[in-house]
Amino acid sequence: MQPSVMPWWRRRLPQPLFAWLLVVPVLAFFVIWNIVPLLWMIGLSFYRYILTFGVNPVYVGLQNFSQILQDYNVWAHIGLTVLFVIGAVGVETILGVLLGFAFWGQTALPGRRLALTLLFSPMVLAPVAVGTFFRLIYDPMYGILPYYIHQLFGIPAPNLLGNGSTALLSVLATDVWMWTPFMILMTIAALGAVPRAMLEASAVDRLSIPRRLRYVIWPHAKFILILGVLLRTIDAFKTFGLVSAMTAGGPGNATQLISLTLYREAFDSFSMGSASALALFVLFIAIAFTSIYLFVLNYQKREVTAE
Amino acid sequence: MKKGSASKTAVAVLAASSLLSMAAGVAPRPAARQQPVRSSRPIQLSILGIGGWTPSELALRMAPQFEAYARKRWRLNVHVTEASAPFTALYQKAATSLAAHSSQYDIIVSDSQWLGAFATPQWIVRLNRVIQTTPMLKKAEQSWIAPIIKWSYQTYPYQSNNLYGLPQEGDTLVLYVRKDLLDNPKNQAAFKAKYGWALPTHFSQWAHLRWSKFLQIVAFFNDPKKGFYGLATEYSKTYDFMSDHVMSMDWMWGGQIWNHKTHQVYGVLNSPQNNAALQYYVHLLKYEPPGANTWGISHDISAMTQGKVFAALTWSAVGPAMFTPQMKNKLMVVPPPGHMVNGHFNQIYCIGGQPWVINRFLNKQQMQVSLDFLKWWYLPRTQLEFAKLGGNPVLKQVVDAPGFTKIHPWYRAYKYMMVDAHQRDFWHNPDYAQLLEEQQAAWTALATGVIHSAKQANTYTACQQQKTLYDTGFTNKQPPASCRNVHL
Repeated sequence: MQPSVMPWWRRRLPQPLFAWLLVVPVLAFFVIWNIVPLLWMIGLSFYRYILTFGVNPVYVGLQNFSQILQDYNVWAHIGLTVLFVIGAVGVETILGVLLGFAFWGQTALPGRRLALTLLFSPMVLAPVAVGTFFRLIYDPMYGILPYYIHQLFGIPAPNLLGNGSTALLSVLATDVWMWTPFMILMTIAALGAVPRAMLEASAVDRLSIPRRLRYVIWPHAKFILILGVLLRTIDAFKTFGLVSAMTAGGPGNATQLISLTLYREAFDSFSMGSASALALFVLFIAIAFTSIYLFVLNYQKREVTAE
Repeated sequence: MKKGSASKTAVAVLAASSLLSMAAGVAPRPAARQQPVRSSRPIQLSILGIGGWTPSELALRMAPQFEAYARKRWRLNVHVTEASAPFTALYQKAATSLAAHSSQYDIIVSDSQWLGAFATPQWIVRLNRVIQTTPMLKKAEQSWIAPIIKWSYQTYPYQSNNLYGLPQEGDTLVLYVRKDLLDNPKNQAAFKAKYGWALPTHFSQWAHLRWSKFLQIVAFFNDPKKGFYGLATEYSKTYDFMSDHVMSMDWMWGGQIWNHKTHQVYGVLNSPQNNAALQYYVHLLKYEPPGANTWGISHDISAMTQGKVFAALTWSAVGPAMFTPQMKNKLMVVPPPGHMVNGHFNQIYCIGGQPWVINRFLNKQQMQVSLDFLKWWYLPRTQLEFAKLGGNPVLKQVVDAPGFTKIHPWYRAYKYMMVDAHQRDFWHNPDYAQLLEEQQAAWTALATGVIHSAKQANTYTACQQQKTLYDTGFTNKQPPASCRNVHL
């Protein structure tokens, strides 16, 4: 029997107590910073409480929720947000997967490390900074993009952010520029999870590329890839800094994502009761999104178990 | 002791000490106060101002003068510190700090329309008694250049006698025009041949110019093929950038934005006059550079200083930024145009400028020093120094003094415009942010072609604002049922 390498204090501590000592700080942090504010927010959502009116909170039951459900603008902004999420995450996933495959296994590629570093740099920038840069890049008077569009195609410099039909697409393109690298990273990680032996076996068996993708790569890569999509979906649903810096939700309400509406309700109007209700409503939508992904992720597993 | 009663006690002490000072006859000359606030360590006076806004920054640049003054006059060791946020974020920064009853900022540069939001929850000091019992402030208050200064920068409710702010700077919309182009004989001859009247080249000619005539000048200089445009104004969705201009047009076209006594918006804002005014304002984009439908203040400055536009309708406060070395001999600042309604020449613009307010959650020492700062600020020599640096003073002694209009090129227009006949302010309500958001969304939607009718934009705004004011209890009139079908 080997002598114990545990320090003396560790040997004297009962195992359950030691486990609790490890868990308690994390648990305390979680309770203080997550659970308590969440419960507070849930409580506040049943009250009418506007900070700038100097009146104590008044219990109004479900009135805040009922107003949200009847508010045309809230639904319009949620619709726009869903559209933005589908568009952004969809394009980012497609591009990310394609580029991820391009980099996969290319360890001997000259400059690979530098290329990856440069490729990943957008996602570490602050969204507000990216938004400000792109606002300038898109500016029809001073911006470089409209200038080159004008020079190359001979058409008037487009006013991308000042046009209701192109503003959302322009913000979406910026989001794609910023977050596609994340999906590349997730794809590379996902492909790294595929056992080399299985890939080699599929090559020896001369499995076609689509079959190789379906039967060898996908079963091993899907968990990480869908996790990436899930994280991006949740994050895209919360997009705020980027759109705030680029358009402030305009022109009109053409890029008014629900996060901006929520921010304005809470920190412009200081209407804390209805802002809490709206936050809760948005949280439910995010949870619903997550549940759908998890359902899809586990669908095949459940089918196999059932068989 | 409750915070409210602590504040009242502090005010009472201040009042008493001021009266004692007066009785002792020490007010006119530098002397130690009766009960001096002394400290070996400097007393920190924190001012929250507007980042990137010259008049606000000047107050902080002049702070060392106050420190020296306080040392000499009151033997006070004060150190002024600054914090700032841009227009768009200042309200949130100030309000969240005040909502937490924080004493982080002693003096806060506010905007006039925030007074209701700060005063209603009693986050800021009601200044009536303080002004009455502080001779230097009382004297200053009697010396504003026009009553509009008091109504806009001090009162909540608007035009009441509840005073919550003091003016940090005055401001008005003015017109920056290219004097070099106006003085060019070729331009003068060509313009006269085309329109049959002479280009205005002097201040007095511009002072009574109508929008219809001004638009002819703008059209004359507008030359997109050469990358030169007639006009730059503001259409940005950020903060109140478009609203200031649109509301000015509303008032000039004979409309109102609401009934500030009954809080009725529907039927007032969406009037035929206001619809015409909004359509006219959006129509100006025809003479503005590409992308101007999202422009704010900084864009106007850039366009003007880079020689891309003939005229810019923006704030007097940006004068220091406009008069760059390249442009200083090319620009003239004049009153913006007016509009004839029923034989009356309306030249009414939305007042700019900011008040500052005192945080109610200060201790006695901080409160005292904050008042000392304000007393110093309204000394005529401080205001004159402020003017020399490019700020917009509000004291009659300074603005009416000989030579004031020669200090900076924009002061003549500033002085001309800063009278009640040319200025109006909008809501000071606690729910101003919601009201603003609603009209900014609608009006920018029109400017950017998301919607195509001024009537739709104004009806939507009126419906939304009426609902907001109804929900918050300011009016008992709900928006009409037809509002359910009005969307952007």
